[in-house]
Amino acid sequence: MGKHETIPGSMPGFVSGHDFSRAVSGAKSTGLQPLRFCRINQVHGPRSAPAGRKKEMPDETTNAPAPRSESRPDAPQGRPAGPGGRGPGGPGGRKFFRRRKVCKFCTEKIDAISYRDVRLLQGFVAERGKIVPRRLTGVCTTHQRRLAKAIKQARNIALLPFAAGF
Amino acid sequence: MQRFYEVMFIVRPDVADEDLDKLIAGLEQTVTNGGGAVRSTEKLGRRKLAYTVRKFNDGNYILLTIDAGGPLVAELERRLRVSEPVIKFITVRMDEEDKRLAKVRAIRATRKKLSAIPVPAEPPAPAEPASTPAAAPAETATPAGA
Repeated sequence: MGKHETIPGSMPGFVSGHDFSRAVSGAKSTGLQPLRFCRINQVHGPRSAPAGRKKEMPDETTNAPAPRSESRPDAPQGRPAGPGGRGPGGPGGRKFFRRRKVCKFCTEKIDAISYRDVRLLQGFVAERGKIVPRRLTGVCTTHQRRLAKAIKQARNIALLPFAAGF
Repeated sequence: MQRFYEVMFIVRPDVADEDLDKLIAGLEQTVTNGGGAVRSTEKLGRRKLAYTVRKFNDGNYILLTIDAGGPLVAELERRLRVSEPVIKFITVRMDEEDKRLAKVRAIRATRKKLSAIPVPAEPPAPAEPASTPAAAPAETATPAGA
């Protein structure tokens, strides 16, 4: 029984079929055996589940990601962008970084970001009206600066709110 | 030295249409009197405002694109500030932006034509007015080749 524990990752814990039979036979040892199997399962758990990552999403994005996903149906790269969005520049605790998001303006060759097209701008504004940081949207620096300027102009002319939602 | 500006202003929703037209005409007159030129006037219609401005929740948006000098724009803004129906305005200088856009477009045009030369199946645009002079001989060559 002990020798199976020392090889934790080995799936030939199916040899543990033997253990089961022994466990069934031994009344007190049944309590112990399931624990060992649980530990083996735990080794494989975090690696496989992207669901674990999704739980971290609310920490990263405090505002509803829904408006952003609506406006970019052509970027099916998935929203879960951790802090290492644009490259391994300071992962900040995460072991591997997300797929690199590309700048929407660079790929679609949108030159002019005007304060007048509210639809475009709304894709980069959070629910409360805040400008979304570029590590979440994947916009490149030049375009983020122009975008921010356009959003501020739009706010001044009451096309976008300064603060909204409450 | 004429610069290109975009002036967007919001007029309160409870003015009559003809008063609105009178107001716009007056502003255009100001521009032309001061030596500028009005490129276009667009009425974007009544829109809901993102926040309350002077106790109004919606307003008439008007966009005026003009060529004018600096002092003229100052005068125009003063008039907008003083006029009672106008509740908000913003003036944006667009000539530098236009220059940059034109440059980008020109670069992009040359690049596109160069890449289109070896392809025999040219997309059906033999008479493209925006082609650069360097690309024009290439354009005429490919239909002859195809």
